[in-house]
Amino acid sequence: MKALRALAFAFLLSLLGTAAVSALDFDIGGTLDDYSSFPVTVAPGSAIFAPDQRDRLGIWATMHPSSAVSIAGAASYNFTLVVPFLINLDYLNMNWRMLPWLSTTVGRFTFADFTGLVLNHTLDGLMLEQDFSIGKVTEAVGYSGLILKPVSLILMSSTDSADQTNSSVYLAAPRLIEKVEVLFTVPLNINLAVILQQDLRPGSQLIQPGEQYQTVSGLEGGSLSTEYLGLGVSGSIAPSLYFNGFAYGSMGSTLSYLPDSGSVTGFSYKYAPMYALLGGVGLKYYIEQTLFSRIELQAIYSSGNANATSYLEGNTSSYSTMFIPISQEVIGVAFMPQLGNLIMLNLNYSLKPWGQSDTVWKNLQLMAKVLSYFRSTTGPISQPGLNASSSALYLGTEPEIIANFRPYSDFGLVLSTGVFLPNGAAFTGSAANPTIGARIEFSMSF
Amino acid sequence: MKASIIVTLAALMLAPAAFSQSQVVLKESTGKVEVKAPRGGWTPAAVGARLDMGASISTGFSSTALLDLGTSTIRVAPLTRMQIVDLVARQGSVSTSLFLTVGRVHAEVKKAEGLRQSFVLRSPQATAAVRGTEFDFDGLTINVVNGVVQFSNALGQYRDVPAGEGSSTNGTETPTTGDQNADGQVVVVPYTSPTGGGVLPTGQQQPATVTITWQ
Repeated sequence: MKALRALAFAFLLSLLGTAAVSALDFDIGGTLDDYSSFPVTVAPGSAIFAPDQRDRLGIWATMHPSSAVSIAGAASYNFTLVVPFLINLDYLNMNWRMLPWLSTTVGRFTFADFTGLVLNHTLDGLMLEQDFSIGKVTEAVGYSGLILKPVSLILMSSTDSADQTNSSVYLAAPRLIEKVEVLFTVPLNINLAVILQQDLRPGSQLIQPGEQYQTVSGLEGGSLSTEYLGLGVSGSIAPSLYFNGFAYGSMGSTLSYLPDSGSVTGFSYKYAPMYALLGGVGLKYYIEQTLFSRIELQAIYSSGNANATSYLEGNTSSYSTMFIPISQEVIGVAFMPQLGNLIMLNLNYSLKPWGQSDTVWKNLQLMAKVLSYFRSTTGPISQPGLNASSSALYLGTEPEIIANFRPYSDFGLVLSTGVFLPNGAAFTGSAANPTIGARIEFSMSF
Repeated sequence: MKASIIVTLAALMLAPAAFSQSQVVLKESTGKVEVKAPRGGWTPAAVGARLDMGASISTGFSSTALLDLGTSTIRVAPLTRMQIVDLVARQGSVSTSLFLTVGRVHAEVKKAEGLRQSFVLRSPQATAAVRGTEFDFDGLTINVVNGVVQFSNALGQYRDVPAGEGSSTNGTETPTTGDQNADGQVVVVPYTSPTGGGVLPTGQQQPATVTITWQ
């Protein structure tokens, strides 16, 4: 792999000239990533397989025209079972440290909030960072509408959802996102965040307020713009014992089909306000002297809406309390819900059995994890199969075993397996049966 | 005229007592240890050698050195090069400044009653400033054994690192928290791309399902 890299570098040198390239501090490489998932839902007399296969072959390059400027880019060929051929620009950005305390990044790069649960997504935009002695301030604005749909994790409205099966839609939902974050590093880690998100879909693609009929031909829903205000604190309680806590308040407006005495149907569409919450606490305890062990306990709460008929834009009351994150997150191996009317408890223990050895096995990490899920309130969640007439809040539990192995710096492997044991009273049909999930991921660079 | 000469002479005689430069003594060495005077070349160092301000010390493979700075000791690990930038003892205070070019050192800074200490250990990427503490530092990462270390990056952003914790920086990144640093020891990241991520699954467009039934 290093030989391939050297060959690519030599080829580039011959094209660009040694002097020019060396002056730019240029580096180039490639990556190959695979994700193979095999969930199986088991019922008496039947089994439902839903395999998922995703591969990415990418090339990346970085250069440093000066000590204050760096440019990075990566593009990839992506294969999935649904879209077998996709060329994507993964990122392309320039970072310029204009002053010792001020840097700017422009282009395509990852935007994330301090939790990664509200926003963690590639966007096209601009970011400013001001560093000061006890922390930093970050301001950023990004746009999602130029990201290709198959690689987008932004799914906030019914129209976003409908676009997934619309072959004439190639780009992700057009949203403008602004973020301001402040980090203080002493005495504890304190994060403050304000995130604004505007839905930029044109009105012609949306059901308009006042529409009296619930089903409108060719249209799926309305626009969804949201605001988030967050606070996070983390630090050390005792040697090797750390805590973290965070809370977000979210507001916005969501299209709702509400009673209307003036309507021929008795109902009409209106925009109702959203008031939602996201919060979490966690503890981590490290026992490095015992096989590099770590114990983690985490609880995350996201508010739901008992008066909703669906997870996305299903509100039927004067206001909605469903928490909707901007970008989706992967939780679990067999059962993969999104935040919103979800309480998740996570207890995990990991160790490196051969962490002290000098062989490649020192980079093997084994983890046992138990995830328990509850609804915050009766009402829908992101996953299908919920029993609409059930008042059960407990959804189920998923024990998992995960192995992370990185024998060499340019090769890594993840094996994950889990069994989701649902609460039969909360689900209906095949969703009430256990689901076994297995996942293989490998990553190579060259 | 006579009076001014006497005052000047007195001042010159008294000055060393109020403001004296300390020396660093090589207490132990194993393997290949060399020292370089401010205006000299590299020469092998013997136990008992004294290093002045501006001097540098270098260790080879499987070689270590123990330096006594009076109020602090530095154990220099193999393949390390460090310079003594400043070592000044004033009345009631000691100021020590070292520059770690490459490698790793273990420093123990003793607390002394009535003595104010300023101990600063710098690398190209980070700075560790301590008072009465013990820690390991390799230029990028610090692990504190006793006391509290103010650990800052090249931009001046700092974090106080207490005993039992560590922190690291690449120079421009904010110094990591203790749990972030500990994760670097216990967590294996299997993804090799420069961004650290793998192939992200999406919630969109689920592939078709296959149902198998049997009697």
